[in-house]
Amino acid sequence: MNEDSFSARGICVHFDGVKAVDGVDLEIRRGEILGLVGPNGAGKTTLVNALTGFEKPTYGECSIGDRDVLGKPPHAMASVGVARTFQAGRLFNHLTVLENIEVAALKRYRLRRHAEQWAIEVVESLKLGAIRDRLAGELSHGEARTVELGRAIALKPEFLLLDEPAAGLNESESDRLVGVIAEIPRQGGCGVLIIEHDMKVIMRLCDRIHVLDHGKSLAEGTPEEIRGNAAVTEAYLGGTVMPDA
Amino acid sequence: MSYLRHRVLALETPILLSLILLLVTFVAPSAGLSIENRAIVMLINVALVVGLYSFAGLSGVLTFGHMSFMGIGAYAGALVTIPVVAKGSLLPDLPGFLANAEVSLPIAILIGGGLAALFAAIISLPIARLPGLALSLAMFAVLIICYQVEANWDSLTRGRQALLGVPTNTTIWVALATAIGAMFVVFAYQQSRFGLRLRAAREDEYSAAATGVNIVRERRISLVISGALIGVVGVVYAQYLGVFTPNDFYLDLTFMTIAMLVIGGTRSLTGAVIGPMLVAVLTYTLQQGETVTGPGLQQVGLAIVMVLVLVFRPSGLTNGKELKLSTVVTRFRQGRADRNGRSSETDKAMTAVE
Ligand SMILES: Nc1ncnc2c1ncn2[C@@H]1O[C@H](COP(=O)(O)OP(=O)(O)OP(=O)(O)O)[C@@H](O)[C@H]1O
Ligand SMILES: [Mg+2]
Repeated sequence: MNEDSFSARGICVHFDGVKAVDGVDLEIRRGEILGLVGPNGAGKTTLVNALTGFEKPTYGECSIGDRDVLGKPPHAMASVGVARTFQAGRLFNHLTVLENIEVAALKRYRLRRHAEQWAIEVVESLKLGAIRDRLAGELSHGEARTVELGRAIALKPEFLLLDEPAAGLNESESDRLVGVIAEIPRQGGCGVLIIEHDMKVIMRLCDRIHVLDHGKSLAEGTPEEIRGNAAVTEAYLGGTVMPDA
Repeated sequence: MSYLRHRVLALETPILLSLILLLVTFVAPSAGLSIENRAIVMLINVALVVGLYSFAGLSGVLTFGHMSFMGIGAYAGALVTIPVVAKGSLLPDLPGFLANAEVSLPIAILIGGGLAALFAAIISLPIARLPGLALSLAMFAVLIICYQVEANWDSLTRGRQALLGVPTNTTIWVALATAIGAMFVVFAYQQSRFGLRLRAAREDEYSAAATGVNIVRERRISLVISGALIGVVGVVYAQYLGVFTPNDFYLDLTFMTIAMLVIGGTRSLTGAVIGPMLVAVLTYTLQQGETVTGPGLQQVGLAIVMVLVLVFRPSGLTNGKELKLSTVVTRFRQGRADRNGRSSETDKAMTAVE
């Protein structure tokens, strides 16, 4: 087993009868971006919930290196270096942008003074300086998604799980966000998992892609391998041709 | 802006609020004894609602049981300050260490606050684990239990009979000091890392957990701090009343303090301070009206005002804003700049959008 990876084996999440996730093996390696794709209802969000402590898997194992992390509550997963964002987008609406990010920074710096400095660095690096004292609830959708990403980055995670971070963004906003995400593994070797429906983004961003369908793994491989995979093209894309990278 | 300057400037809210309370303290006594007594009660209510805010406001979880800490503080403070000779006839079955205790107000405050904090710490073990509404109801259960114990433990509290002979040490200045002290403690807590994490959890529990906030732990800390503060207020209030019964810390007070916090606004310290002040004025007016309408107008009027606030301004009158001179000044300057034809960048952006 790889020392530097977050790996899950045989993860099952069953909601009385519904097998939302059904025996998935998945490994996020440090320094890489792993794409998680699949049609609506495939179980992608549920899988991320299970990996981050928000949903207790019915069966399965989950570890970072040789350390077992299954069943830890969400805040403890953050402590061991696993951060996430939410599909619907969630911020602390009545806190300022800076305070939103500072909450995460407090996980790395005990004192508010130091946490605030780190939060300011994150804010500047994401070019959010102009809105840092605004309330998060008053932001545009694009700004809000950037702040949410910044809050996750401020945790200095070793593994970062992003659930459709670009959903609802226009093309230029989405490009910018994808640019930020592409940089994450290069700073400190964080491993990234990203759920995204836009295959162009996935092909451009990811080192490996994991395809989920009806709660089961359909395929896993490099963008090249996935593009050439007939089963994926058939089942997932309904026969349409994958775009070029 | 340097960090230190930033933090000192941030203190302007409790400083401004203190000045307002100081003004009341100076002026009220000149309007006669009855107004002075109302001012004392108002100052005590400010301290009390600020204590309530340090849990309910910062965590976003309403509590129907925090007045139990007030009862604990009041009885503990009274039992260690009632003169030993008086205790002999009032409470003949008191255990020895209590029967012989007679301490000064500061020591009584430490004892009452400490005991309430200890009680809060113990009940927080199971209670802080509960989700929102369950927590509110569990606190209500705690209130009922405390009330019943106070009302029936005759040898310690004289039960439903009034406990009397409590030295009346609480002057208007003691009440002022309690209110200002509570404000600064709670403001420091609100701005601390603990307060920030608790407020984050109030805004969104899922995000907070994903951001590494241990919500149970933060609520536990908040329960202990609010318990200690309200315990202290209990000691001070008992030393104002001189005579009290378990009913003084029960449903009426629970409703009154919640109404004050809701009217002022649950999401800012300023709200927790101006709520009790507004209610004091309102209650006074309604009580004058009661001479015409008969009793009950005060409670009914307060309840109606609370409903109106909930309907038309659900976040209370302050709507999460803190009292700050800097924002007032900035707005004033901005207004003047606009009139001089020099519009700020944001205004340009606004015009562009239009
Ligand atoms: N709490 C729940 N109780 C019952 N069923 C659930 C629950 N959460 C998810 N499901 C079901 O599990 C399946 C997987 O849902 P999930 O949200 O993980 O899909 P997804 O791949 O993220 O889809 P999308 O692309 O639309 O976000 C769906 O059929 C959904 O209805
Ligand atoms: Mg999803």
